[in-house]
Amino acid sequence: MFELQKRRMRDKSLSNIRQGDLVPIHHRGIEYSYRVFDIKSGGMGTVYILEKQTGEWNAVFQQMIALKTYKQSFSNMMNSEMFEKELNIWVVLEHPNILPLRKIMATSENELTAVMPFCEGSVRSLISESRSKINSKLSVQVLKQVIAGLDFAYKEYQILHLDIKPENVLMDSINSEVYRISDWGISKLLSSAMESTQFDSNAVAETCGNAGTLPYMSPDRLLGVNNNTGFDIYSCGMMLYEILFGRLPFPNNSGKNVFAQIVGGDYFENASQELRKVGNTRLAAVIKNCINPDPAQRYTGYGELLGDLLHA
Amino acid sequence: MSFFDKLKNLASSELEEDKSIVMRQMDIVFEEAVSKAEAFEKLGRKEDAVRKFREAASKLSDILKTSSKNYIYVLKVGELYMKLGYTKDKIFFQAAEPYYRMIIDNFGHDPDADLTMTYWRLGILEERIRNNQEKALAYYDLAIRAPKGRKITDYQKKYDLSAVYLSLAILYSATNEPLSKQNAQKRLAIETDCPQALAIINGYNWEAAPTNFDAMISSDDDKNIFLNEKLGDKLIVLCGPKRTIKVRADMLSVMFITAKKSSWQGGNKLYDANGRILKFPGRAVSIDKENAAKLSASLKQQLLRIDNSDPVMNTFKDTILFFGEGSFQIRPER
Repeated sequence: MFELQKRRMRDKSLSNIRQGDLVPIHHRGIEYSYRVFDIKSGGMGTVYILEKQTGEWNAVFQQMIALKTYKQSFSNMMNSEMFEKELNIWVVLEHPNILPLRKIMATSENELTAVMPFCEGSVRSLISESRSKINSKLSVQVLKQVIAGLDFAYKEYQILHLDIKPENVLMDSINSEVYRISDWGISKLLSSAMESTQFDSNAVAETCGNAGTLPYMSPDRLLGVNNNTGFDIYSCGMMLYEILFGRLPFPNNSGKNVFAQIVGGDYFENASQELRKVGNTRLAAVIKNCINPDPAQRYTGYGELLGDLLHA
Repeated sequence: MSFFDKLKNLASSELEEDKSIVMRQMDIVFEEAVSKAEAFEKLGRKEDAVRKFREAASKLSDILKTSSKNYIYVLKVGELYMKLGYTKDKIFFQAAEPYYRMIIDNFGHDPDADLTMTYWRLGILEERIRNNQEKALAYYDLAIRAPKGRKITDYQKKYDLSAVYLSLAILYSATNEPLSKQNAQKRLAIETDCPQALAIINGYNWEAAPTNFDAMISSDDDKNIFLNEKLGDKLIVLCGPKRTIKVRADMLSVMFITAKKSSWQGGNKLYDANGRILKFPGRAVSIDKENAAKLSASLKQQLLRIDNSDPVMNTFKDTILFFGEGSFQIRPER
């Protein structure tokens, strides 16, 4: 059974697959036929959403699944190495609020491919679809779950995500009230916490330098100051702000680009003014304590933040 | 009461509904744990893989104590112990054996059971545990003659049989060349790129293959090379013209020893003077396709030690194929 599985995992390369194509997947002696429902291409990876056409029930190969592989490009080698680093971090993270890595497959061209559950949408779609502002209760619900996932990754493995944003927080397809953190592509391992697991922590610690999504990156991070969990806490604050207001605190008419607004701290003044309008003053205070440009004024740990969120 | 305690209680129930809940939950436990363990394997993290396999084996065998009414779960626990036997310690093969025997005893007449797979595993275990080739042959014969289970797809049956043919081809290679080739041919009809079967068909003499690597070590250089075999799980990156692969240092080392001894590999010195990890700064090495097949055949003892379902074998096979693709560079994993 195991032998069959390995042999059949060497399936067709994904790079030539188009939307609507049928993709056979072989797993433990069973052939599953999937149709490509959607293809989403990101900076470094491509995600294929597949819908099962034939094949019996299986805990990994469910009706809808998603396959993630690194993007074939001129910098293929680098992308493949980075993807492998992501997989090495992702594979240990088993938490209800972290999108699980179900399986790693290798195609005939030796591309590693991650199999993960399909998620209906992300917090981004929640923001986009919401015509009116999202209520603060829902915002708190999202953030509590994200913090729980981040706290687990940090406490258990000293891992920082470093790219928390609405696109990377997904809604579970079965229970839409469960949110899961995805995309550990630029995450960082801070210590040798995983040494005992034969994992080359030094290699991963080098990951990506200052990569990330600019509007969610803190001033200290952009200036190269080391602030561990403070980076992700800042990003969470920004995301929470965006969920509440439907936009980020960077006014278009400021005459400055986003980088300058972050480094100069302008965004914080703007955010503080807007947050005065929020009825839930505790929640407003939580956001301010997350996105404060001065790292010393920001939450120092997830516990403190979670504690305040529980009362918000 | 924990989730697994609840599951154990349900497992002892006679109600069909309860049984189906247990089956579904065992499926989930098995799939999630095994797929995760295999993911660790793919990333070269053997200890994590073993931990996951153990975890799943312990949970499932615990539930099986209360209920062994469905052969598929007995088979799954057996497979988990086989997997542990390959990845951790061969002592686990002994733990696997009773589960396959249980299938024959309790489900031998079950029209759904995959008896080809079960007999094949019992044959392998006879070779592994007791080195009893005669009994192994008898099991392989039973495996081939076993009826197709109702729930087994044609696809699965075909590949189950292909695994039996390979075991037979290797086993007969020492005593009956025509029969060995015949089985290798059957294997190739299903698995067209199987290097072991190809080597047998090409008439490579398995008996003449080097079997004692210690005896082959004579010079200091050789000794240094041999030392690398003890590097275990250290991964080496091979950059070829078409792709980059990772291979375990010990596996690569064993292949190079054989290649060098047989003059199949160009270049004078393969390793540094201290016997440390392979160092080939700017140097390209290659083994052509024909010699790659010979190389695989020459490693009979290795193949016997690690059969086709061993993850190491998977790397091994891939490395041989890679060797045939042209010159490559070697660099240690960062």
